[in-house]
Amino acid sequence: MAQILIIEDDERLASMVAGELWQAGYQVAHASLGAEGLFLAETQSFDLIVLDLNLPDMDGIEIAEQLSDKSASILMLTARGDVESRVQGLYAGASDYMTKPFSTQELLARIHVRLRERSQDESLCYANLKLEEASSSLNIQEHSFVLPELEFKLLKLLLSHPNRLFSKEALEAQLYGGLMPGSNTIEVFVYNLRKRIRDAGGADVIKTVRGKGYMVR
Amino acid sequence: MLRFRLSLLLIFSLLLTIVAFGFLADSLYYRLQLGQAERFLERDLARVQTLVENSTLGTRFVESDRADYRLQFVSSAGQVIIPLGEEVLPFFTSPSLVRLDAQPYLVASLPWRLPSGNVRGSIRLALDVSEIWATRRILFNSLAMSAAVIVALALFLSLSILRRALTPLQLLATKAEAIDPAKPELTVYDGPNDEVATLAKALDRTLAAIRERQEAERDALAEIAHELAAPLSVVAGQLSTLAQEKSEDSRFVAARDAANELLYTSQDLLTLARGELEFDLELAALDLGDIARKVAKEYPGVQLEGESAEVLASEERMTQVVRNLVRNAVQACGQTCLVKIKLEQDSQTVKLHVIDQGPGIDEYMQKRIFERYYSKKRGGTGVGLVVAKKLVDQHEGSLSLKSEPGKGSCFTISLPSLESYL
Repeated sequence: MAQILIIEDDERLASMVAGELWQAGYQVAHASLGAEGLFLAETQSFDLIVLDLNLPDMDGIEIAEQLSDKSASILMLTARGDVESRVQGLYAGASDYMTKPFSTQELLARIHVRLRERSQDESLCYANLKLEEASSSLNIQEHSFVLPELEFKLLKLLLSHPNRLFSKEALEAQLYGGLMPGSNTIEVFVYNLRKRIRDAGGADVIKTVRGKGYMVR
Repeated sequence: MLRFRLSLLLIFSLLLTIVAFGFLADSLYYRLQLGQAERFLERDLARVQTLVENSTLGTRFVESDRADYRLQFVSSAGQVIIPLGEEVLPFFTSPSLVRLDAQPYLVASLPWRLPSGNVRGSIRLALDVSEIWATRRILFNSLAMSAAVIVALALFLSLSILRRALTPLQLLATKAEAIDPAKPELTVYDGPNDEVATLAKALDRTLAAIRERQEAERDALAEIAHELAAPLSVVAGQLSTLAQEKSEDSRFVAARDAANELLYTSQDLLTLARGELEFDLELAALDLGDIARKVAKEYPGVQLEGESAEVLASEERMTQVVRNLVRNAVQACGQTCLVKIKLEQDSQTVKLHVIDQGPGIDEYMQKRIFERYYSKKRGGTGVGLVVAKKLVDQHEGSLSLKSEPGKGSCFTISLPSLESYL
């Protein structure tokens, strides 16, 4: 039985979503304030958190950052127009987002997909690659390497959002914050990662999207 | 054109200066020469008088001295005594200009005293000054000629100099023309700190004000959107649950359909209002077939042809596009079973056709159907197709329409295939 937490200040919306999820057979908890949500997430374990970006007491991105070390997937609800905040949300640990107004069926469908992905495996896997957070190591079949910090961060970001395109600029911004390093750093990291994976007989999952960036598929 | 106007103004003032200068030079020269001639005349006349008073050398001396002199001894009765038979010169005590036989002469007179001391009449002397006049004409001609040359030269120079001087203005105008009204970017002007720079600064201030205003409006719209989004989601969600529970009651079904309609239209409006079309898309590799199946499920009865086709797209946005096209087609023919989604793919391009057997669209409307707020539906804003077109453009694809009145329409989304990027 999957446990879901809804952090949403609009009571009607929260109770409707909660009702639908309950109908679908999930256990649901609701918090209308960010602090309350964080407290609940601290004291209980959830599989998925539906998080509203616009809360009266805290910024949604901040909450997502604080929740990111929990094992729960985060699905963000946003009424904000700027993609910027969503991208931030994705980097802050959210695995998906929906823009308000949304149809409940679509929200439920997304939640099902997220939970199904989770139930397959707890650690980050893609093809025959397996990333272990605790030891910052990459396992391919019987091989295991400890990756340098930034390479690990890069691979984790790509693997946790398979099929999603990341531009070089976005990756740089994520890895280095505002401080931009040399122009081809990301290329070098990707080159190193690909070489390691190839040498260990791993699947060639990091794809270059011509003129746009990289994605894992 | 400003360049020619400024040049003309310059030439005009130059011409005025030349004329004034020429006039001054001419009158100065004239007065100087004439004054000199007058002094000659008076001196010679006095000499003649002295000679006549003291001896009898008389006229011959004067005649041989200067060829352009005419000397007359006139009696008190006004008759020319020497030389006989000549017409009498007019009488002036001080040198005066007169015209004799169409020639200009300076004429002056002194009393003709005999050595005895008696006054016999008057000595009259005329000096031909036509040379002064001729020189004056030459002077005038050369002045006019040099004026013409100066004007021509000034015209050429001023035009080419003004062209260079006005280049910054031209540059600024080009930049101002290129400003996108939807997204007024500030102009970058790096010319000298003159009037043009002042203009550029003023323009920048105006643009900044417009931008500020636009941003404020956008923020207000986003605020309104935020207020509307939650209740709309609740209404649509609850009605959909109710319609599911009481599917025998057509009122719930109708209410749910209307609420969904409202939901999707507001998504379109908000897409425009939030300025989302100006932001980068969050792209992912996805199957257009999945989106087509999802939308076909929302409109039961719509047929689906084709399996899967991978593209690089934003799932949310591409769903919105396909949904808008299907919704439009269903509204056009009133029945879902007359609408078909067809998926086609080659290595470079993926095509999704939405085909309906509705009334079709005439040629006039076909050209305008993707324009903002143009709709064949009375009262409708037509915003769905506008948003669809813009979103497809944003995906580096194209949205086209083929239609024949009476037979139906076919909207086609063409997107680069995922393969073409890898």
